[in-house]
Amino acid sequence: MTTPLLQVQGLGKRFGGLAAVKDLSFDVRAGEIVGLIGPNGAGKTTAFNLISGALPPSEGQVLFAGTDLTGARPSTVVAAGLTRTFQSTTTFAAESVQRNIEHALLSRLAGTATQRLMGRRERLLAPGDAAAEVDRLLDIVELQAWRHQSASTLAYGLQKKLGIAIALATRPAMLLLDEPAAGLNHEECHALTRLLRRLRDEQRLTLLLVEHHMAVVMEVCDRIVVLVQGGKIAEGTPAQVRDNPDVVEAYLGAPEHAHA
Amino acid sequence: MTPGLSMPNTAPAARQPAHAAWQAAGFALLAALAVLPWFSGPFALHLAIQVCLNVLIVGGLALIDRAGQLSFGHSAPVAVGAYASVLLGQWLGLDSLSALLAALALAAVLALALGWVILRLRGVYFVLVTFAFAELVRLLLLDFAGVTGGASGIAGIAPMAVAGFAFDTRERFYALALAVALLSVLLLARVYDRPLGRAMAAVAANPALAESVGLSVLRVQLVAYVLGSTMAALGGVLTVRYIGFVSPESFATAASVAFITMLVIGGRGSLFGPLAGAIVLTPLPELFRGAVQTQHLFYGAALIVILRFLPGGIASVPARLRNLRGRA
Repeated sequence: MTTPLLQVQGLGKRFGGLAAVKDLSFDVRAGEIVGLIGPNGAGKTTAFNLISGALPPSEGQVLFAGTDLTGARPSTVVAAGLTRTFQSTTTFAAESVQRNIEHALLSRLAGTATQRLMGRRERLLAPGDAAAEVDRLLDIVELQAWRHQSASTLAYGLQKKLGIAIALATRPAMLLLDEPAAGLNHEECHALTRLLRRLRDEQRLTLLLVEHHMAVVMEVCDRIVVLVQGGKIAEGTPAQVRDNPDVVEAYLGAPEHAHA
Repeated sequence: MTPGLSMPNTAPAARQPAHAAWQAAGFALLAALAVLPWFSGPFALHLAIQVCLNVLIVGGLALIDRAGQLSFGHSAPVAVGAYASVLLGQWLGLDSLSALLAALALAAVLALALGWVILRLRGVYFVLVTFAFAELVRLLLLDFAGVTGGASGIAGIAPMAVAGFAFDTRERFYALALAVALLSVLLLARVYDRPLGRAMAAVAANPALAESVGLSVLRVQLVAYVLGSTMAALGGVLTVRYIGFVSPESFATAASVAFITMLVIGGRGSLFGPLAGAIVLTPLPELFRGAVQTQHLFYGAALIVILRFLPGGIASVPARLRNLRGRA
């Protein structure tokens, strides 16, 4: 078995006396879709922020493709090939869909001052190929028809798609998706599931998603890591996790979920 | 300043000729305005020189603002440029051009060191720290009187000279100031149009998202801060070479406020903002010299009126008019 693409080892984060994440270890292999689930306040988003560089960890390590990214700035993590999306829709609101994606391509434009300033060396793009790359990305998320519309005027589901296209523009090897299904209706959830599969199968991406929406997680994930109160309590295939008594008790058995 | 992309799809072909005609008329007016001072006497020349130097200094502030940070201490790099060119010139026996280059290098290094620390602050915290730093610079200039001349300043500064040609009359110096102001606008146009300029806009619009698409907010803002501060320093060097005198009084908070006022009234986020702001606001205090207090009255009132009725500043007027006609 080859080395995993992402290795999280003994990761922990304390906010004052509160341990939001403690001793979290798991691997993600290239080409996998892994879900990170847990009840509210389990530390999923904190774990996500630690991996993506938005927060420095108190202890532990994040290794990505053999590189130690522990405590690196987000832009450095992105340059290494690991890009995140945001839970709330996050775009350059005043700009058009096309301009949003162009912004996201900037650090990859080979030979420009910006590329050198960011120290980016992998997966560069010749400036002359930028327009074709924008087209390719719009095709992937099916946003061609909205390319001249400003991001803030897009419907919610489309803004989430734009968020994914922005992340894809950095040409990551692995995508961290923060609750991609939140706020989507039934139909949009299906489209999202199909999109995530396509990203893995056609774009050869590895995916790690934090998600509340159980149907999406169970359908799309190869493996699931379950967090409760900052610690990992289970890990396995969707079927294994669903049948794990600890998970049922700590997560699905919680009173507010009993009738869901 | 972003043609094409953000324009609505309503018959751009039909509107283009009229747009181009207005633009040509605007540039012709500016060109006439730029030539006029040579034929209008010393006072007009003096005003025009001040306008040009302010275009340069406020252009530097606009560049920093473009990347999402508003400096409330933009008089500090102006002061550094002014004093450094005079003092380095004296100590090292440099001619005015070498002293200028040395002063710009020093200002750039200082901006790099300071920016590396303070650009980690955001919003009001950055504003406060830049304000405090500018006061610090002014107080140091006052207190180290042995070196800087203290409150009485330094007089008898030699005029700017390049390759034996001295810019020692108002007519000659205006030519230099005009060229530098023009170059500063061209520099901004060039930067804004390149990936680096778009990275600045992205960082200003949404720092967290910019960082997550691989744009280091700190590095992008640092480039803008060093460039903008160096432009301000050049403004300082040229000012003392023109006036022939420098004192800390010129770098009080009022100067920083005036630069911000020019930027906001001219138009933040617009290429021609610094130009419009400098042209409209520079003459005001000079025309009402009798009462120094009235300068701030005029600036304050203008600021309120603009923020209320024209948040995009004077430079946004042509686009607004076009929109109005488009709707009619």
